[in-house]
Amino acid sequence: MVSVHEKKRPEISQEPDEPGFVGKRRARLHKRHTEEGDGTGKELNLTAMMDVLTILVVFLLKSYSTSPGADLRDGLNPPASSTQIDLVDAVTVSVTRNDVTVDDTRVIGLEDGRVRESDLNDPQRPLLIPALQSALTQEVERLTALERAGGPEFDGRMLLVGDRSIDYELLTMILYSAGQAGLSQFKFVTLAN
Amino acid sequence: MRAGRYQTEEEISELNLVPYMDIMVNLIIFMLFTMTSFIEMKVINVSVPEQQEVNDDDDDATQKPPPLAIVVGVVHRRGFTVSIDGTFLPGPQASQPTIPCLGNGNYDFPALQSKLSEIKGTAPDITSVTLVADKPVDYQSLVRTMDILRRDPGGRPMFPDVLLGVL
Repeated sequence: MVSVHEKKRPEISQEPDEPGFVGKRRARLHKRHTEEGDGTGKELNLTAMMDVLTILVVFLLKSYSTSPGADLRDGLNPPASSTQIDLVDAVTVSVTRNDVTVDDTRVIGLEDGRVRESDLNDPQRPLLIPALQSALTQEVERLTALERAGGPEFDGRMLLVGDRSIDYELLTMILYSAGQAGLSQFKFVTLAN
Repeated sequence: MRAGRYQTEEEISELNLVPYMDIMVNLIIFMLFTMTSFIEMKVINVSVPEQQEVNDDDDDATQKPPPLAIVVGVVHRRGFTVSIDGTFLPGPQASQPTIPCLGNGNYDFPALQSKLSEIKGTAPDITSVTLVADKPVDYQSLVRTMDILRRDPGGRPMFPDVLLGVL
């Protein structure tokens, strides 16, 4: 009679299917253990990484200071174009649906892309925005005075950074006001395709 | 004893670079997100009509007329009109502009492109064109139209001098 306890268990093979498997695994574990444990294994060389990061930061700071044109603030998404002409430095007028700025100074506010009636006070010239004209005239006078004093040449250039959703009516009003202020060369800033 | 002291001094003199790394990485991520110089910006040169003094004494007969006046108009939500010397080119139907909008309401830019190529083929010396638009036409559509006026699909210049006009 064979009791339950005496029942012969099925033999579990001590050897894995592949010969030498346990040996390899043990060796790998042992290697990892010694690498981590003795302190002589791989350590990150942080000094070299610091060098790379410092160079990156300096490059980015330099790019910050030299990029011409206006920065793209909220609500200012210029249209895309296939033009290949590079950006130049000039008087910058930015137009969003909320306001018009001249060189980062807010000149007038807009109501969903439309000029308020109170900002248009010349019935003879319905396209003229007087506040914009006077702001641009001051800028033109300043740049002309700089040129006379030996500064960079001023040739009446203006960069228009407009949001892609503004309408043609607003665009013509801005170009007309700029023309009345003495600016003559207009450049539309676009995003490269 | 002596060896232990040396070891302690060595440990203290090592600069802990990890906080600096944190600052640098945060700074770089912040700058990459906020900077705009990676966005490539270009410009389009635009001409506007020059203001002229109205003078009744001008004898128009002595003034040389421009060779061929091509005017492209963007009609809001209807399409493009093309006129040569004041004569509008007809559209598919009598009530439609020269190039009507597509069925989904978008402007048919490829058709405008082929029409202008056709005109350029008949008058290769003309380099200027006047662009006018309805008041509500958006800036992006205007710039896209200007792109099409200036160059053909092969990149060759068609009408590089675009003059903006007012209706």
